[in-house]
Amino acid sequence: MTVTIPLLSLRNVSRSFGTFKAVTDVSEDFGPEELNCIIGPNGAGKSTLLNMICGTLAVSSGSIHFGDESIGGMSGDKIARLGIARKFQVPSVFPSLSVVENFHVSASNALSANELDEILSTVNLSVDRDTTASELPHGKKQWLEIGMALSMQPKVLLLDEPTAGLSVDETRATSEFLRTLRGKVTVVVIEHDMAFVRDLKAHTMVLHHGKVIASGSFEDIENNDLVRDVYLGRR
Amino acid sequence: MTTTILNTTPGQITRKQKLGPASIIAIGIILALLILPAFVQGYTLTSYRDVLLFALFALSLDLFWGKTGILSFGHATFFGLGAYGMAIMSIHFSIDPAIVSLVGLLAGVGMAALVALIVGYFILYGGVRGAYFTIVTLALTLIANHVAVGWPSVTGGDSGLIGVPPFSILGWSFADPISSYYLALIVLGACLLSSMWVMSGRLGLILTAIQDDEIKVQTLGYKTPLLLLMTFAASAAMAALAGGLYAAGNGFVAPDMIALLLSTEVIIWVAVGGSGTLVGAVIGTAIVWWLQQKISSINASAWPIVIGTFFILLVLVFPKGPAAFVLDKVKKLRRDKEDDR
Repeated sequence: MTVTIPLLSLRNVSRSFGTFKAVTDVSEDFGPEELNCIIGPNGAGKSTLLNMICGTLAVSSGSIHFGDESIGGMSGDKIARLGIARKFQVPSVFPSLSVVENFHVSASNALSANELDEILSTVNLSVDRDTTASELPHGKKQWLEIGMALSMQPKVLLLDEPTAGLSVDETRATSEFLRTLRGKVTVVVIEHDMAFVRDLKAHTMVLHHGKVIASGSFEDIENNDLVRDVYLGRR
Repeated sequence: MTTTILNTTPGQITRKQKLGPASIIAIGIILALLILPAFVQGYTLTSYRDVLLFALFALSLDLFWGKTGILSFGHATFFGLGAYGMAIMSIHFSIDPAIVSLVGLLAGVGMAALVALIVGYFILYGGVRGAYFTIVTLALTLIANHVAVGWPSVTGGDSGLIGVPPFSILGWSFADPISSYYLALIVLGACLLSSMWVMSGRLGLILTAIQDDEIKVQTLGYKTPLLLLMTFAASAAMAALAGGLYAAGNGFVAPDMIALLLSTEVIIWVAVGGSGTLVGAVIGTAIVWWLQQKISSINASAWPIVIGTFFILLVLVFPKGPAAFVLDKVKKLRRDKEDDR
């Protein structure tokens, strides 16, 4: 990966919970409008890392820079206003509101009818526009949350397991959709589905016990002995 | 982002509704309230005026509790601050009679908003929510009541203050029952419509979203404690407005206007109507008042037992309140109709 000016930069980022080190000395750069993946076994520290980037968790040590600005100690709402949007691991939509109302809440500015139609069409929810979010099936909730993040017009989109619980077709559609974002927005995806990650052809970082054990193209990662030993397994 | 919310025109987001049965009933009720003084006079009309002011008080609680999901058990504090503000300014200070009511009302409303901002700042920015918020606001009413009782030189102590002049402004006096009734009706109508208008916009949606998942709302870029604090202060100011007009209408203030019992009663009024609907708070107040009149006329001591039993049954049968139950049924009927097409 050739990153000239990183948009999001992590330097020796660590997070401890008591004596347990969830993330240790993670340093990584994410360039503008690039597609990135973070993979690793359960408990590797992937979601903790995302929580620190979006301000839900404080950094124990190290620094996180968004452009020129240090965002390590910033509140979540301020980080979001800078242009970092996040989709949670468990679909986090507002169940009491309709699909359209969810977008009205998430959008960075008041949405025009055309803008709303465009977002609905992008995430294939046009026919469900007036459906209460609690009544949507799991897959559509995932898409609704992705749409909500996009309606914020972010510079960085953090997606925590966007294909969890999706069908094969839905997963393929998600992969195709994320690839269309390359060149438009910096995307960081946490995933367990290796077929999906392979399909994305994204720069990939591997976390294990809170540490980066490999970083590079997915082909490099697949051929990395350490990654195969601790996560991917040997054929 | 907060600026954007305030700049968004409320009412734009919700879909346009046709003039349905609910609208026709509402128009009928408004017409009935407007012509009521033609049929009812004197003491009875002042009783109706007080019901309208209590409904305004209930509306103020519903604006916060119903829309944010956080129960304030201390709203009598703000009603009382409005009432005592009006009484203290008009009795203890030599203010021009032409503006004394306005000054008293502004003092009460301002004091209530300030107390809500100060207390609310520490508890809402401190992350206090749910039952802990309820307990803190309950304590607030206990403190306020102790101040009202224990500072007789200013508040009149246990006896309160008698001799609050009727509301008047720049020569316009609302001393007689008819004009004070219409004043209460106009203020309630204006507050109800403006609350419904504001809450039909993006702010209402965001407050509902905060009820669902506050952390998620923060990750969308909203300062949720600020939004909750502003709603709390607006709600407190509205409660004080009701208190100030109530004191001017009845000519006195007493410690029971800033007491825990009133804080409890207003919760029942809102719950009976259905919290979160705004108009339900007004209807709930009227229903409970009507029941109280009917039952007390049969047996005065039976009222507390009846209201307690009624409230328990209501919560068991309609956990979200009767108004929410009716709204859900109407929604279901509409959806069934659409499915049939």
